[in-house]
Order: sequence, then structure tokens, then C-alpha cells
Amino acid sequence: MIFNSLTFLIFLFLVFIIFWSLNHRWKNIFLLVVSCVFYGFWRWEYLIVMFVSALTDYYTSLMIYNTPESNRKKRRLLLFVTLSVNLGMLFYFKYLYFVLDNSNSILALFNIDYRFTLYHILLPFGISFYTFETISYTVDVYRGVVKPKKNFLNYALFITFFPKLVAGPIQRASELIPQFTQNYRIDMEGVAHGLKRIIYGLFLKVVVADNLAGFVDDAYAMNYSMASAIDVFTLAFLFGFQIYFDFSAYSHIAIGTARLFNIQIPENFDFPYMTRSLKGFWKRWHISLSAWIRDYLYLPISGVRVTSSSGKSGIGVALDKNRNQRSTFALFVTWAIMGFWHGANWTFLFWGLYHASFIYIERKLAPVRASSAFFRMRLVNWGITLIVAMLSWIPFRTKTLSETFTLYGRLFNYKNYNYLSLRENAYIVCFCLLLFIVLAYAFNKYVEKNLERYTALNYAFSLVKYTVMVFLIVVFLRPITQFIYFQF
Amino acid sequence: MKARVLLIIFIISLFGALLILKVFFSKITDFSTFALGTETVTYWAKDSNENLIHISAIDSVGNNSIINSWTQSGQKNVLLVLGNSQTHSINQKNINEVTFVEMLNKRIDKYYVIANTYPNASLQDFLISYKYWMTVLPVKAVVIPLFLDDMREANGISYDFYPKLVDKNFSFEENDNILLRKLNISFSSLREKKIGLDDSKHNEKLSTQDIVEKYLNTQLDNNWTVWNNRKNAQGILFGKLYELRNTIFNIKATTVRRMIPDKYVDNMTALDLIISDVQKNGIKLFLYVPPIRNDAEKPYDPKEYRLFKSQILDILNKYPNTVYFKDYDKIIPSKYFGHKASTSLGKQTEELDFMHFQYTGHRILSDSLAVFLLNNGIR
Repeated sequence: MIFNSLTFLIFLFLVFIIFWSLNHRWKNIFLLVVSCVFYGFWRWEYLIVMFVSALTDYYTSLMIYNTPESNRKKRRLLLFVTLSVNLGMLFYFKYLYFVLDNSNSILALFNIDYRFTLYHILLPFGISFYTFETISYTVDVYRGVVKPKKNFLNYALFITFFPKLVAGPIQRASELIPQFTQNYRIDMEGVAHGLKRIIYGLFLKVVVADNLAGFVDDAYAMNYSMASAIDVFTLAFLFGFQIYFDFSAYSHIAIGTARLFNIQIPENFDFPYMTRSLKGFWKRWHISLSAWIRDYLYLPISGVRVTSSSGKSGIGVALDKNRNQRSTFALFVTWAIMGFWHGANWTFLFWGLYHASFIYIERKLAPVRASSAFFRMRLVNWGITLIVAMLSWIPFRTKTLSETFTLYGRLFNYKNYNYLSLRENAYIVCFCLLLFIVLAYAFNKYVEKNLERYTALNYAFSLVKYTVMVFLIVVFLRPITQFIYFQF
Repeated sequence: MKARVLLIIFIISLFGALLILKVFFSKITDFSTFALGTETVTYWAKDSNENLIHISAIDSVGNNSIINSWTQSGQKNVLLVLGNSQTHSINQKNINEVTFVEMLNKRIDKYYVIANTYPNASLQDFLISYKYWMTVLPVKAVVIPLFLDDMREANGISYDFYPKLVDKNFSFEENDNILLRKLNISFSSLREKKIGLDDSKHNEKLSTQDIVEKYLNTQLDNNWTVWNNRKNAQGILFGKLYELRNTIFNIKATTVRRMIPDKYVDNMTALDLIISDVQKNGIKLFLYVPPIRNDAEKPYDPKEYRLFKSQILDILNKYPNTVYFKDYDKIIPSKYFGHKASTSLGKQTEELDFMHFQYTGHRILSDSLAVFLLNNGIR
């Protein structure tokens, strides 16, 4: 089921009413059932894939826990089994086509007649997200960071809990499962906050991101070899805005929906485009994925022992703390994997390495930046970071590396800076959205709190704001597009 | 803010939003004619049996109407007229006034004249239309106007124009041309959007959500007028945004709009593809630069307009015996063109309409085209 649909809104209303009418001991069972219904509305048969992953980790983590630390061989074997099952399924659904297709190209290159048969496999929604959750659970048990749960219901709910099931935020067992053991009490503060986040999310998705999609598609339909340099920046910014509004909208709705059931899910975005360094960007963009990458890839590859598990703070913290010799190697390997996690295409690998390279440059240039008054200016740092971050979206949106390099190549010829070749609306929309983000940030940081001191004004402002938002949501609500991150 | 107050605000907001939708957006607006202004109306030509011969969208209804009309008229060879809103609109229309398409249909004996036109149609649209009609009717001659307005910036394809083609998995068989590959991708992406929520590019089975969502929307559309007003509201809001843009940037009908290089090249490529295809199939192609009013500076960059005309002549020289060409840009006196309402916010003044002309203009164009066709074997 997708959030930007009438079906979901009715589903949510019914689930909310029934959940709070039920006796405590039925609440979790009910949540598990409705989570399966939520997923099944897309494809019922793919519930099996999710439960194979969940059951594997449930049993292997119990077995790991019951195996003495001295028997490292068996513990490692069990961990190997669970990783093989999870990553094997991910490989089959997400990467098999890509590997076979590339293998065929290599065979052709060497004039070998054999070709692998290619067939498309429907990627199960959310597989990249719930696979990471199940892996993190078993690895945490292996590390001794968490104890395995004997109650399968709570464990299954940790994997399937519908608000975060399809596109995160990626949860940690240590943060989510304890909340399922609470004595549920309806919290009006939580319900109001949850509804507010759902309205924000729907507004960003159906009013902003979906209407922006048309401009982005139109702009990217251009002949890249004729693009001006300004066009390349515009293309990058347009898609950067689209993916941000689209994905942060999903996170708003996920967090808001969970709050309706008194469950807290960590934030996933925090104005990433207002940051002044790439390291800061990764503390504010898809925070739960960055944190996962930090704990299960970057730090282990760097040789740092991980002793806690949290889906908060993103990867920036680890970049600060960890500067040993292997950290550069870890940085590039981590980002390469991060790139491939997003999709089976060389463009995603390039995207990952792009980020790794710029973070590496940022590290190396830190002393220069610190000693230069110009580079200490907030506006300069913000501008540079924004441009670097936005340009990274080019490989994310283009279909091939050749298209990516064609567009980047346009930036390196001064003659390409003196003409424009997109429709004027593309530039106007791009500018308006940048202004929108800056104003929203300024409002959030400087105005919102102060406004609360003037009660009547605050009420009036809120009434107008929510009426306009709800009106636009009602007008534009149509499930014409999925959330972009569903495909990952 | 206290939670209870916030909850009350949410409830009031919801009812407020529905009230706004009911009160301010209930008047049905025809957005397909929105850009024409109030002076100009659309007219869909008919043959002497009063059967429809001119359609816009290629959907099942339009397609069947044209085929029925053609069957009833004796299944003659077909002369296909393509075009944009100029072809299907009449400025200051009076009763019994018709377009040049209808006049041609009545004047030409040996061919059955049909027309397929879209607002702001590009050469890529013409290529698709031409290819489609070739497969369903014995098209032996094609008339195409070359509008710089649309060639310089129109691009891509819209589901609204080709619902039948999208539903029937239309695609170009030739795969050796970048533009055709691009159009094929556009068709498959429209098809995916049409399938809707389903991610399955290769598995067109509908999900439970698709079925439920469709049911809910149909029920609400049919039974709740407020829900039905949403489409109207979408159109009006986008219209207001368009006017706001024009106001801020002072964009008027006379404002010179620049050529977008890659879109122009794609449209020229589409023209080239049409020409090579008609040549291959022994079809006569009649191209013309359409009439435009001449009592004011044209909204074209003069250099670009000259380049456009010279490039057309270059293409024609490549295909001397297949393609016939006329430049009609000055044949209709400016007094037969009209005005349209200002497209800026709050302005009551009218702007010049460079595209749409009155019945007399249609008669002049029909006369010119009839002679042009007659001189080249179309009677």
C-alpha cells in the first residue's frame, strides 16, 4: 500500500480506531496482521520472502546467543548462514539481472558464444530495508549488543511494522522492540504530532514532489549533449529537490503514522540541503541508512569495535572519530556498497564513489579551510556543499554512466556557460524550490518557537497553514507515482 | 500549542478545505480550450453526411468515429490533415461557419479528408499520428503545417492525446533512430503510469491496492460532487500559477520566446522521419508554413524564423519529388485574426492572437490549399 492514496488514509483511520479499542494483549497481534495486509495490498505472495528473512534471523540469532562465546567457529557459521540467506535473496531479486547482463557483455567482448538467459524479476518492495534490519538484528546479537527476543510476535512486528516497512527509516531492534512491550496508552500529544507529520508528508509528496516530477521528467528528456552548464546545474538541483521532497515526505508520514500508535521512530532528515559540509550532509540525509552503514560497514572495515546500536546521528559522527589508517579504505568501500545498495547499476556505484571522493577531499582540505577567512564564511561553505551534493544526483537520475559523463563534461567548457536550453519554467521552479527550502529552514529555526508566544496569532496562522495544506492535499491526492525510494 | 487545540485546528482545516473546494471550484472549466481565450472556439469538422472527420485525442471513440465516417463515405483513399489548435479553432465564430478542413473535405472528390490535431502539437506528435493512421486507413496524402511556435519548444508526448495508442502498446518498429527510441521509451513510461501503482514493468497484474483505489475513486467521483471538483481545482490552480509567472516576468503574446535547441532538433528529426517514410510508401506530403498575423512584431526571433524557413527548404531539396511546399505566412490579412484575454493576473486588457483566425481566414487557407493540392494531383 502506498501512503499517498485514499486506500491508505481509510486503512489508517480504521486501524487507528480498532487499535485503540482493542484489549492490550491483542494490540500487537493486530498490528502484525494489519502490517501484513499493508504489504499484501501490493503483492500477497511476497510476504513469504519477508517471512523467510525474518524467520532465518529469528532462529539463527537465538542459536548464536545459546552458543558459548568460546565456540567462535559455530557462532561464525551461524552468522554466515543468516548473512547468506539475507544477502542471497537480495542478490537474487536485485542484482542477478545486472550481474548476468554484465557477464554477457564480458562474454561478448571475448567473442565467447555462450549467453546467460536474462529474465526480469519483480523486486519485492522494501527488501533492501527489511533485509538491513534483519541483518543488523543478528549482527547485534552476535556482537553481544542486544539479546535475542524469544517473543516471535514482537520480533516479527519489528520487521513488519507497517509505517516503516517499505522505505524506512531503518530500525534497530534495541530501539523499536522495547516499545512493543509497553502498556499502550493513547497520548493526545503524540496523536496531534503524528497527524501534523502526516499532513506535512502528504503535502510534500502529493503537492510538491508529484507536481515537480513532470518538470524533472521534461528536463531530463533533453538531449544531454546540447545542455548548457547552467542546464546541468538545473537538472541536478531539480532532481535533488524531487528526491528530497519525495523521500522526506515518506519519512514524515512514517514517523507520524507510528506516533498515532505511540511508537517513536527516529528522524530520517534534518534540512540536509542547509548543511555546510558533506560530512554534515550525511548526518542529516537518510540518517537511519547512514547510521546503519556506520555501524555495520564503515566502523568494522576501519577496524573499530562497535559496542552500541543506534539508528540516530548518521555517519558524520564516525567520520569525526575514526581517523586510523584503514579509514580511507573503509570510506571508499563503504560508499561503493552504499551506492550499490541503491540500485544495480554502475551509475549508483559512481554516485557512492563521488561522495567518498568529496568527503576525502573535505578531510584533506580541512586545515586549509580552517585557515582561510573566505572558506570559514557560512554562506561560502553552504554554497559549495549544496552544489557538490546536488551534482551528485546526476548519476542517480541518468540511466547510464555515459549520460552522466556527458552531463558532467558540459561543466568543463566555458562556452557552455552563456546559453540556456531548458524551458524557462525549469529555472523558475528550481529557484522557487531553493527559496522554499531556505525559508522553511529559517521559519523552523527562528520563527516557529517565537510565534508560540503570541497565542492568538499562532492559532490563526496554524489554521490558515493547515487549511491551505489540507486543501492542496485533497486536490492533488492521486496515487500516480510511487515514492522514489520504493525502487531501492 | 496544546494537542487538543491542534486537533481541533486539523478538523476545522479539513472541513474548511472541503468547503473551499465546494464553493470556489464547482464551475466546470474546459481546460482543453483554456489557452484559446474567449473569442476563439473549437470546431470539429464533419463531412457532407454530418459524420465527424476531425478529432483530437486518438481514443476508441474518436478512432471509431473517423473509421465509420470513412466507411460510410465509400472507403476512398485518405488525405490526412495534421495540425494544432489553428486547424480546429475559429475566431469570433458565427453559426454555420466551419474550418478549412471541412471545406477541403467537401471540395476534394477522390480523397476522403480527415484531420487529427492537438493543441501545441509538435512534429513528434505529427509523426505518431501519421504512423498510426497509416496502419488503420489507406492514407495516400498528408498535409502538415510547420509551426515554429511548436517546433521550437514542444516536446514529449501526452497520454491525453494518444490513450488508445498507449493502451494498445504502440511502439515504433524501427529502432535505429535515437528519437524513435526516445518516443518508444515515452510510450512505455506512459503505459507504466497508466498501469498505475504497480511497479511491474513486465508483469501487468493489478495489485489489490490498484483495484481498491480505482473503486474508491470511481465511487467518490460519481457520488460526491466535491471530490469531482478536484480536477477543476487542479486546472484552475495551474492556470493561476501560469498567469502569476506571466505577470512576474511580463510575458505576453508578443513576447519573443527563444528556440530550445534540442527540442527543435528532435522536431526537425521527426519531420525528416515523416518525409523518408512517405517516400518509402509512395505517399504525397504537403507542407506549409501556416498563416500568422503580420500587423505586429511576430513573437519569434527574426533570425530563428529565417533559419527555420531555410532549414525547411534544405530538407525539401533532399526529397524533390515527394514533398510539396508552400509558405502561407502572409496569406491571411491581419484583420481576420482576433484577440485573446490577457494571460497575466488581474489584467483586463486583451492581447493579440497570432495563431487563430476567423472563418474568412479558414476560407482563404482552404482556397490556397485546394489549388496547391489540385496542382499536385489531389482532386
